[in-house]
Amino acid sequence: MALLVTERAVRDRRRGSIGWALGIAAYVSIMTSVYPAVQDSALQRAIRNYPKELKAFFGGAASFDFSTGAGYLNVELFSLIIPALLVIVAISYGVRALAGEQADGTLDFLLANPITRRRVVLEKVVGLWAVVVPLAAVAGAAVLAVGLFVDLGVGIDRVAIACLGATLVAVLSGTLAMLAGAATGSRAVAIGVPTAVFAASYLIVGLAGLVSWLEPLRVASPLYHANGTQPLLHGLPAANYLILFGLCGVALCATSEVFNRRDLVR
Amino acid sequence: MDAIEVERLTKSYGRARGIVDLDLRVGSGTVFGFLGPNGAGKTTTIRVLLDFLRPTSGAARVLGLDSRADSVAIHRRVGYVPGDPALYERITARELFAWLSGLRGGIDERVLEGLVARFGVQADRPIHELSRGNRQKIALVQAFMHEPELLVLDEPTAGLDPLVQHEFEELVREVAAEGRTVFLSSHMLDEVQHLCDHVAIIREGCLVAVEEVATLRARAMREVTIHFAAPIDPAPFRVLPGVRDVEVRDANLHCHLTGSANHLVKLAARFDVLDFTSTPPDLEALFLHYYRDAEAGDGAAGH
Repeated sequence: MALLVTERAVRDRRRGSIGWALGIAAYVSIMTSVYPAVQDSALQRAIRNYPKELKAFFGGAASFDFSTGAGYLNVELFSLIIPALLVIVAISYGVRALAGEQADGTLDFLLANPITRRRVVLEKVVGLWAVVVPLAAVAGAAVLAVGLFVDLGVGIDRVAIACLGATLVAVLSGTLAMLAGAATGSRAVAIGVPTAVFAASYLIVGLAGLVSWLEPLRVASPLYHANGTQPLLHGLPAANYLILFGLCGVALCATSEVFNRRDLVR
Repeated sequence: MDAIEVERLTKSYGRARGIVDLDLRVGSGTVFGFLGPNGAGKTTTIRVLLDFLRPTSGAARVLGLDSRADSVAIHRRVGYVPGDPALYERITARELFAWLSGLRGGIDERVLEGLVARFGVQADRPIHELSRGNRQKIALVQAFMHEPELLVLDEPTAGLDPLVQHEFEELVREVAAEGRTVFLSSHMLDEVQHLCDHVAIIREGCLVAVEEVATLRARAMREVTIHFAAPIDPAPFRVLPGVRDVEVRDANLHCHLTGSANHLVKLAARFDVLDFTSTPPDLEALFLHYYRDAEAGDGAAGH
């Protein structure tokens, strides 16, 4: 059987996805194309004089080095904005996928077919990847396209790696939204849980640079695993990405298990 | 083999009332009505049959298969109309049918086209532009399109205009004539009495009675009002079989009628009748009747 549930879920968001793609492409291109103006400017000099605590919160002094394209892109796009945009898309998909369909009542039509609940969860998660990956690719492509005209000094491999990190943290957030929705049937909980996790993981990354005893906590932060090692500057953090990938798998299995057991009340 | 066998089924959840120790058998090839007021547990029972809800205790078998273990096999052979159905809004009915057909591994397109034409489904407009009645038609078509052995219909005629409702009744009769089974819920006796062979009555989560429709109709009470051209003597009306609570004000007669209207109409016809109205049978009154019987212990809740 073809992935019909995936197809329906992705198609239903087609218009929204096109809008997000245009928005992300525009934002990323603009931010990237102003790099030469920022590279050696009053702003750069001002940042050099920022208090070290502030710099530490945003990823350490090294990442504030706007003298390289990688440093600039890391701070302005990949440390927060791109992951956050993808996370928003992923959570909205994840909320709709189970809790939303249950609340609307369309889940009845879907599950009355000869298809297991586990299969529905699996196909919906495939759909999540199918929604997030193209948007991450658009972000990466926008950076590289501007890079044809502006000397960023960042290779295609590094950009792809950074986009993969953002994709992983987004898919994890979306799957958590599905898990929370499967467990409770509530849209509000499905939005709240992954949003809180993402906010907490951002704070942990920032504060761990300031407060030394918080540093071990970084391993609990998906955002740290995605971009905490600054892959644009330092290359593929294989272990961190594997952890994220594993967490996505665990969240998928948990969602499948929880959804399979739950009473679907209308 | 019975199409549906429910044994001592109990489903309790949260604050909502569930069902308690429900026993039910629906014979293959019958049209079976499941009657009760809103909130009586009809939808809960149906959702257990489809494995959307899991029994607290007891079990349900559908087409001889266990509702929990064999739900996929059951879904393959069952057509379902949810109560107050919600459809995917952005696509057209044709896209929806094609998609559902794909999930079922293909259907006979001629059957689908026949149903679409028969119900006058507006198949090429996005579903969110359609009225309640037109959506209900789509919900009906998707339940019948794969020619299932069993149809589980939760309040299927809600929102349908009378012509479409008639078409639906015809379709149900054809399906039954082919030996397939129809299980339909309703909160209106009039809705099921033309269609069903047997009716189960459920109230507050408990099965009150399973009756042939004729028996039920004989017990159902209607309010009748007759407007005469001139004042009449109520005395002969008071002694008619099945007629109770006769009140006369000027030329208007009001009474409660149980069973056939034959005697009442014949007596009334001796006078000049301007108008004759009869309300649908009052389900609550009917339930009270069964409750009284059940309490008196004369076995009205027999099977």
